[in-house]
Amino acid sequence: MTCDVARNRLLALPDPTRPTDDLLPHLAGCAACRAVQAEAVRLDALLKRLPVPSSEERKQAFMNRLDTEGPIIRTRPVVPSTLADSGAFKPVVKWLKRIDWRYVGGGVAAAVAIGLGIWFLVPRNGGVTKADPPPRSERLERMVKYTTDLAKARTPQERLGVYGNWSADLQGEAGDVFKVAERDEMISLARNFEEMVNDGVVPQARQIKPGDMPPDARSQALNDAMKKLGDAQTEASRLAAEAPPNARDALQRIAKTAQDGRRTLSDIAQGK
Amino acid sequence: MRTRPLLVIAAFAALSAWVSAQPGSGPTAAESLKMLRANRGLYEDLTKHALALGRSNTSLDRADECLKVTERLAREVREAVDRKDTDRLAELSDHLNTVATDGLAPNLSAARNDINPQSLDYTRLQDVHQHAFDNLSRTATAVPTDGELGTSKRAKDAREKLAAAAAHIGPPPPDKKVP
Amino acid sequence: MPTDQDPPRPDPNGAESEWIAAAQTGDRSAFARIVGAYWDRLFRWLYHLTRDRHRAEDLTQETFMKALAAVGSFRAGSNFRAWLFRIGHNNFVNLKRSERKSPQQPSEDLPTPDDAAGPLATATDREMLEKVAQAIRQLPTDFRMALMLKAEEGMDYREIAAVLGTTAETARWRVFKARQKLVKLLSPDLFPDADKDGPSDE
Repeated sequence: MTCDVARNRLLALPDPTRPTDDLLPHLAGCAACRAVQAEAVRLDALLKRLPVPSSEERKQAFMNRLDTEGPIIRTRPVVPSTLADSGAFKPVVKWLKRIDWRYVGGGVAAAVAIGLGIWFLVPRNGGVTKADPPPRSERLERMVKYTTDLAKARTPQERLGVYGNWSADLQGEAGDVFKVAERDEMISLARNFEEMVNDGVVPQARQIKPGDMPPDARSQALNDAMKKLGDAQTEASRLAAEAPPNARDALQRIAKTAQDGRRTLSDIAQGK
Repeated sequence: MRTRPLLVIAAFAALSAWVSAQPGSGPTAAESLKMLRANRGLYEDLTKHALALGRSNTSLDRADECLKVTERLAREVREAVDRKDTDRLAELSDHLNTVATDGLAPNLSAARNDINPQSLDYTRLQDVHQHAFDNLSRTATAVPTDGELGTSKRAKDAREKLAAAAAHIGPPPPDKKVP
Repeated sequence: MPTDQDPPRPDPNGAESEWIAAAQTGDRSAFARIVGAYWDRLFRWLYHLTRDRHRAEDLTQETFMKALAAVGSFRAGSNFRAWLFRIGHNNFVNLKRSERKSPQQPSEDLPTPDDAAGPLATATDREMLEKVAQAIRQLPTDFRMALMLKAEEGMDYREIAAVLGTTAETARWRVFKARQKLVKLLSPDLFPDADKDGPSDE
């Protein structure tokens, strides 16, 4: 065993004072690694002794409240869970009330006139000058990012989040090209969507067992995934209604897959 | 107080002028279709690997899957070099670098910490590591240093990024038998 | 190969299980006992994450309030400590998210000398602890979370993983990286006379 490997293993031990059997022979013969072990042991001991301020007063106040309050403590968020709760909008609302909206109307009319003038007069080249490189595929960029996210993910809920986003992207892609794509291209997207939902989203959702995490966190993870599928179903159905014939089947397939996936997740969430 | 309405109108006018001068946001349907057609095979393969990653339970399995993704992307890079397509070369080199650095390297490191050198998995780890390093090194050297492609800034950047990714992964440590 | 096969943390005297069962029937004094048993430990951990006493206290209180609301759904026999710290973790994560939108200055509420190593601590000890505290602040939050659960609570990697919502392997990785970084930062101070670059005895 090399010193590098031994030191890495020492630092990863649950308890550096208790090296595993396979480390002992190396430690017996290596003073340098024994020194690293001693450092790790001393470090753990120091960590336990790190000073923190006292919180006794707050603890007692809370415990007293528990004894005196009624059966239900209404949770008063002490940290803002949403921007609205934080009161961040109050200054904005106050400012908005001070505006004289007649002037705003005049401003909008003038702006439209100027904007149209510029739009007609300025030569357009897709907004891209000859010197600019062609746009990259954002979808490909996102797929690469999702791939690295999956490589880092260690829990079903992390993977569920990634697969949910990937599925949403696939539905979005279908929505972007349905008016111009060939039938087999649309069917390919629908098939990818099916794979992502049936082989990605649903299996990961099944792995999130009750008891593995606090109930509200589990619900949140499953609800997020259901929402994404619900949105995909709604959008695909809407587009299918206006799609040309060669895209309609694929969009309906996406909508059906999303609907079925959502139902399955709902069953999982309810413990069925 | 007459200045206030003038200021409001001027502000809106400036904003409108700025908005009008911006390029349109997002690709058109035709542009999206063009990208779909250019990447369709790659999309299918990435989807397949993504699902396999979700089934991987160990760092070694994840590293192996990431290796497959980097090999796939490396093929695209080499095809871009063959076609002398600088833009595609730059785009795919970036993606290859991302997967190698953010996906493959951390899982290789984690696997190296977890796997006993005496175990069967160690042989596989060494193999994956060697292939990862070789693939990135070969891809970096496949980007030419001369000609119109090779002397372009984007090709130089691509080559440097790939070489840096290969250096980041590094060759596997030599096998060492414990006496 | 070291593995964490430790069972879920045992209830040292069986009392905790009784408190939880009583709390689940609405007995608030039983829940108050749970608070008494866990407040300081949870607060310590959240203080190391936030480095701000008031935020840590707010998060601790919020955690217990959520735990009280949810204690009915806690499954008897499963790991209460991990469950509670998980709620604390999620509250901390939510706080960080909201602070990204509207950043706030941390309060300069440092431990007093009385909070420190204790009256018997030498000046050298206090100096060393201050260095360790500074080094901890340089750790990425994820590493700090895992390390302090290990160091202060003695959690095994499975339990740490349950708190952080990750796998045991990732928990072990984070503790390892945290220790590695700290040893590197503190090495000259941990053992000033040690020679770790010397040749092996082999």
